[in-house]
Amino acid sequence: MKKFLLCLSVLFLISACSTTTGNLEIGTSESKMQDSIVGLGTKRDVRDKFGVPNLIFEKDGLEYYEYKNVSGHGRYNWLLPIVGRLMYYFQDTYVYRENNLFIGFDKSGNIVDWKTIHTGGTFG
Amino acid sequence: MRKFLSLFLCLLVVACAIPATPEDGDLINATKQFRRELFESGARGEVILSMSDNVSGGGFFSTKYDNVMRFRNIGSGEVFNMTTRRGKNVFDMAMLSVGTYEIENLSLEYTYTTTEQIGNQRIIRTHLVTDDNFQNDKKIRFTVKPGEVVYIGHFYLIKPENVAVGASSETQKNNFKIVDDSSTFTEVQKFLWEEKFGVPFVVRLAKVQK
Repeated sequence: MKKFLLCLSVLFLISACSTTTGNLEIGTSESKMQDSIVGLGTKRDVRDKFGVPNLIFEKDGLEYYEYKNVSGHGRYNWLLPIVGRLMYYFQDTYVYRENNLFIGFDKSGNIVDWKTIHTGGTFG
Repeated sequence: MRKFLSLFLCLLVVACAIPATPEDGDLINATKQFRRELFESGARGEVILSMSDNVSGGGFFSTKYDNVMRFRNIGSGEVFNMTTRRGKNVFDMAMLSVGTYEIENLSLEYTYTTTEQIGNQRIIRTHLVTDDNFQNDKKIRFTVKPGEVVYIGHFYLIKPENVAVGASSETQKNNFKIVDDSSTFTEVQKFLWEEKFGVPFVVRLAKVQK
């Protein structure tokens, strides 16, 4: 019973620490994003797997789809539940990380290029 | 042990009840920050604007007084804010996905605190007052192009009490003007922007459509 309650507490703790918005199908780490694109060959495959892109744009004669997600948390989340709660009233910034997946198609709709970008920063 | 566990659980539940996490909208707004790698991907452009108002700068309105523009990406529906604060910054900048944006609101916002004594307790309250300056009978749009730094204008927010006496009743509503103020930018300011973004800015004012 104690173990169960402890696990439940840890679960609450983790869920209270961060928020993620955007397309989760692409993954939130480099390795997951790399894995997510394996086996995809055409625009249709990409749409079937990831859905409607966040942005469609052209670059160097190719059509690109962009998918992204953003996650963020308080700076002192690792101190939760007790000290972190106190620090919450003093912290002036949050930390965020944006994961972007760009997939380029030729005129026939085949994937000819793809790239991942991970960036982030703080905000308050 | 049981007491300790109960205490831990109680504290944890309290801690989790008000998560120290940002909202989805906060995260989307955070992505306005300039990040060179993303800017150079061909999917982003940088927007610069300036804002001011005709409200008296003294006394009550002298601090924590913001001019706020809320706008939406027509393609993705994402909503962003750009803000300038009196006495602190005239400009605001945002790195945005390429495409067309529509302004949803222009407003004057000020925050102030009040203190109330009830018995032995002193209660301090923070208030946010919003004064909209945008009538929805108009559409204001601007566009963002890849790798471009674009100045979309100076947004001048006008409150009616400062309109000249004798003006018609129609002009008594809150209003706004968008003007090109780029000729007043200092060389230092232009240099700093170019150094930060790597390209000089272009002027393409936001357009008002009926």
